Amino acid sequence: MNEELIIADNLKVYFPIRRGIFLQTIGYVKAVDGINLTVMKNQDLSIVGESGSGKTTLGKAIVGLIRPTKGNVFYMFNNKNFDMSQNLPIEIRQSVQMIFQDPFSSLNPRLKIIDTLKEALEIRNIFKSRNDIIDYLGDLLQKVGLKREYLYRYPHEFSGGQRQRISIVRAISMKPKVIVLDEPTSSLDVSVQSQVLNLLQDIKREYDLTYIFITHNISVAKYMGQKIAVMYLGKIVEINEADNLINAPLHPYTKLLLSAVIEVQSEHVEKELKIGEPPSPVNIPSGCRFRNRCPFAMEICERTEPELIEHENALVACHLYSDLKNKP
Amino acid sequence: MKKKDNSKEVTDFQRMLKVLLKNPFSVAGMIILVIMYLMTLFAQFISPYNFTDMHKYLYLPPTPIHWIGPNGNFHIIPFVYGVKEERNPITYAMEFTVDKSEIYPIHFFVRGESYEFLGLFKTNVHLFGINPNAHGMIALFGTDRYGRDLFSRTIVGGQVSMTVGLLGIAISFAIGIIIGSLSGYIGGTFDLIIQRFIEILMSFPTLPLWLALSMIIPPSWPSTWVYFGIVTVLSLLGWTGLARVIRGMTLSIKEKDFISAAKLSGQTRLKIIIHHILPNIMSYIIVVATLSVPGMILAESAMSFLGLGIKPPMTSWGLLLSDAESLESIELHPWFLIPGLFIIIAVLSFVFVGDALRDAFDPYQYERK
Amino acid sequence: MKESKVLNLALLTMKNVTITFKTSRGDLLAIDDIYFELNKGETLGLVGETGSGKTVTSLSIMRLLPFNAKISGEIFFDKTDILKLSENEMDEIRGKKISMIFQEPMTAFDPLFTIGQQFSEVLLKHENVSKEEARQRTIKMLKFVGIPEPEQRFNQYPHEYSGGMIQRVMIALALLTNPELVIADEPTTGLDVTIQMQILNLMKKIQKTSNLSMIFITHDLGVISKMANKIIVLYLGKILEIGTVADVIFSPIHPYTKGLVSSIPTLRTNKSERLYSIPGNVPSLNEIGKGCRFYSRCPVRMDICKDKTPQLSEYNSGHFAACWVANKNKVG
Repeated sequence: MNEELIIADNLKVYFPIRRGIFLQTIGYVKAVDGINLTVMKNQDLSIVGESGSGKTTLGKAIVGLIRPTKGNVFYMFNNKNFDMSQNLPIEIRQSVQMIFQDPFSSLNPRLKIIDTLKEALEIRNIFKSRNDIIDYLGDLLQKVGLKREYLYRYPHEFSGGQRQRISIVRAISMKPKVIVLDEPTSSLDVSVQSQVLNLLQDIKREYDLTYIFITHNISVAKYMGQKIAVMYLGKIVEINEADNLINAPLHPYTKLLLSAVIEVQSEHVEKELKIGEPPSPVNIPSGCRFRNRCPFAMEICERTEPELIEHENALVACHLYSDLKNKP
Repeated sequence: MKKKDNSKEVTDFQRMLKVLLKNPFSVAGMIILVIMYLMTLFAQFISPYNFTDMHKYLYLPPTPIHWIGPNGNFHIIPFVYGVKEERNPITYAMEFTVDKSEIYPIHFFVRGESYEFLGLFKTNVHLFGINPNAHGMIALFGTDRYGRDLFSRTIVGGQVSMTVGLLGIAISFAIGIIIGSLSGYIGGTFDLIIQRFIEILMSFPTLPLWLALSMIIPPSWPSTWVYFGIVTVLSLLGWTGLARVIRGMTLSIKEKDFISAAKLSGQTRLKIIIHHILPNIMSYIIVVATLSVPGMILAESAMSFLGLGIKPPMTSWGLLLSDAESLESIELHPWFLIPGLFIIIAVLSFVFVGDALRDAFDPYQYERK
Repeated sequence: MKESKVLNLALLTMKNVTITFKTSRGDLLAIDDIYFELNKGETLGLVGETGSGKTVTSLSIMRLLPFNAKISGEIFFDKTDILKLSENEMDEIRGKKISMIFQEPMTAFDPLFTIGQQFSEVLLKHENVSKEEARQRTIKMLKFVGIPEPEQRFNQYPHEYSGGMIQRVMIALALLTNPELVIADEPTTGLDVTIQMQILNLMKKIQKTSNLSMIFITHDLGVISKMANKIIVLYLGKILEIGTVADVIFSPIHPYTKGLVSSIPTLRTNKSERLYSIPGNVPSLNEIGKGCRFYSRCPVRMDICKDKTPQLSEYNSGHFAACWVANKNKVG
C-alpha cells in the first residue's frame, strides 16, 4: 500500500509586498520557502507550526487554491500525475478538498445549507434529480450527527461545531481522496472539539481518506497524524513518525515547541528558556532561520542553511546532525 | 419543511422592516417619495393646466384658497377670487389685483385643457380646477413670465427630476457592478488599470465635463432624446464611485473561506461572482444606490439650471429654478423658488430612507447566537 | 460560608450576583445567582465556554457592563459594595485598585500615542507624581516585565511592538498603579505556545513577588491548572463546581468538569484511543430550561435534573459542586 498521493517539489510561495500607485514590488513575504514533502496514501500527515510559519499557505498550495511561485504540487490519481496548479478535470479537482478554520466564514451566509452543499454535486452532474441529491445529502448529514431538515436552514442558525460538521459534509460529498484540514477545531468550544476530532477519525476510516492536518497544537497533531512535520518560517525543520517525534525530538525547535506544551496532567516546570520570538517572514535570517533563537547555534548555522537530511529514520534540517558541522 | 424556511425568510424581512419603520425620518421619507412618484406618474392629471399653455396672467402671485367669503360667510366648497387687470398709471405695466367680487369654487374632475393620460388616451379631465372661462386662475404656485401655471410646471418637471435619478442609477449600477466585481475578483493588472482609469475619470472637474458631454447632444434632438442623453451623461460619470465600493466589497468577500470552498468544487469564476459574491454585497449596493439618487437629481438640476440639460419645452425642477437666477427676480417673484423646495424635499427623503436602509442591513442589528 | 470570614479575609466577594441582558428576543439570564469570594494573594481561575458568562462576570467587577444589562446582588471589594458607588468613586477604583489584562492587547492601546505617554497618563491621573517620576516608574515596570531597552521602548508606538511584547506591556500597564486585584481575560489565547509559556512565566513571577489577587479567565484547563489556586467552572451563567486545582482538575465531581478534563487530547493520548466527548453543543442562553443547565448534554442525568436546579453543596472542605447525581451518591 505504499502509494504516493501528494508530492510537493521544491515548493515556494512568495507574496509580493507592493507600494506606490503603480504597486511596485518592494519585497516578498516568503510564506513557503522551498518545501519537499511526500504524502503517502492512508498515511495522515500533521503539519505543526506557530503563526507565520506558512502552514496554512502550504495547505492552500497543496489543494491548488494558491499558485506556487516556484516548484510544483503533484497529485497521483489512478496512477497518473497531475499538477495541482493547472486546470484539472472536475472529477480530479473535487477529489482534493479542504476544511477551513473559521466555521463562520466557510459557509455562504446567504445560502441555505442545501444550496451550499448541492453546488459541487451539480457541477459534477452525477445525480439524475434534485430528489436524489436531497436524499444523498440528507444521509450524509445524518452520518455526521446532524438532522435531515437542517438542509433547509441558513448558516446563522448553527453553532460553530455544527457548521464545521456541515463543512465536513460538503467535503466528503465530493468523494475526495485527500482532505487538507486547516485547524478545523481550534475555534470550537473545548467540549465540542473532541466530538469533531472523533468524527474526523470515523469518516477517515469509512471513506478511505488521507488527511493533511494543519494545527498549532502538537497534542492534536499527534492524535490526528501518523507523521508530523514541523514548520518554521516557511520551511520544514523536522518530519518523523508522530510517536518518535514526540518522544525523541531532534531539531531544537521541535524540542522548544514540546517544552512549551501546557497540559492538565503535566507537572509545571518553570523553564526560563531564552526562547525569543520568531522573526518576520520578510526578513529571514541568513543561514539557519532558527539560529537567533537556538540554544545550540554554531558558527556554521550563520553561513549555511541546513538541508533536510535523514537521521535515525527522521528527516531533520539541523547542522547538529549534519556532517558539515565538523568541516571548517 | 418548505413552510418552515419560508417563515424564516419572512422574519428576516420583517426584522428589517421593523428597523425601517422605527425611524420616523425614514417613514416620512418613504411616504414623501411614494407621493412624489405618484405625482409624477399622474402629473398631467393632477395639474389643473397644461404646463406649456400660456395665460394672460403674467407673474401672477400664488392664488390663496379661501373658505370664508368676503362678507364673512363660510363656503363648504373652497373657492378662489377672480383677478382684475389694471394698467399701472405710472409704469404702464399690467398689474393683477384680487377681485373679491368674483368667486370661483374649486371643482374636482373638471374638464379643462386636453392632454394624453399616461400616453394612452386623450382626455381633458383634471383632478381639480375652476371654471375655464373664469376671470382668473387657480395658480397655487403663481405663474411665470408667460403666464404658465407654476404648480403644473413643477409637477410635470418632477417627471424629469425624479426619474433621472432612478434611471441614471440603474445604468451606472449596471456598469459599476460589472466593472467593480470583475476588477475586485480578477485583481492583478486588470484591477490596476481599471482603478487608475477610475481615478483619472474622478479627477476631471465635473462642470467642464458636463459642458463637453452635453455639447455632444445635438440641439436638433427632440426633448425626450435629450432627456435620455442627459441620463446617459450622468450615468457615464456616476458609475465610478460605485464601482470602487463594489470592488472593495468584492475584495473582502473573496477572501472568505466559502469562496475557496466553491473554487475547490470546481465552480467557474462567473458563477462564483454571481452566486456567492453579489448576493453578499447586494444589501450594501441597495443602500449605496439609494444614497446616490440625490446626487443624480442634484446633478440634473445643476445641468438644467446652467442650460446644459433639459431644454424647453420639456421642463425640470432645475430648469424652473433658472427663472429665479437674478436677485431682482427673487425679490419680485419669490414663488419662483418653489421648485427648489421640491428638490430639497426629494433629496432629503432619499437620504433619510438610505440611512435607515443602512441601519436595517447593518449586521450588528441582528443579534448573533 | 460564614459571614465573619467574608468580612475579614476576602478582598472580593460576589454575593448572589445575577445579571440579565435585555434584548429584542427577550431577557437573557447571563449570570444566575453566583456567589464566590477571593482572598488576598489568591488567584482564582474562571473556566468556561461560549456563553458561560466568564467575561460578563469580569466586566461586572469593573462595572463596565453594557447599558442593556441589569445587575442585582452585591459585589464587595475591600468591604465596600462597588455597585453602590458613584461613577466618580468607581473611577478611583477602576484602573487603580482593580485593573484588567485583555485578550487582544493591540486593541487595548491607543495607536496614536507612545507607550510612554499612555503609561504616564495613567500614573498622572491616579497618583500625585511628576512627569519625570512617571517616566522612571514606567521604565522600571517595563524592565520588570522583561522588555529589553525600556528607555528606547518608552518612546515607541504600540505597533512597533511584537505580539508577545505588547502582551507584556499590557501586563506592565495593569500592574503600574500597584492594584490589589488584576483580572486577566484570556491573556494567552491566540498566542503561540512558546510565547504563551513566556507570558505565563511572567505572571507566575508576579504572583510570587507581590500579594496581588488575580482572576484568571480562560477556557484552557491546562493553563488554569498551572496558574490558579482555586477554580470555578462556569456553564451558561451558573457555577457548576468550585474547588482547588487538585479538587477540580484531578478529582472532578460534576459530569461537565469530568467531561472537559477527559476530552482534551494530550501528548500521551494514543491514536487508537477514542476521545471522550460531551454530547451536543453548548445551547444558547435563550434555550435553557428551568432545571440544571447542563441537563441537555449530561450523560448521567436523572428526572429531577430537568425541573429543579441543583444548588452548590460541599463534598470535601472547600470543594463544591451543583449536581443532583453527585448529591444522590453522597447521601445514599
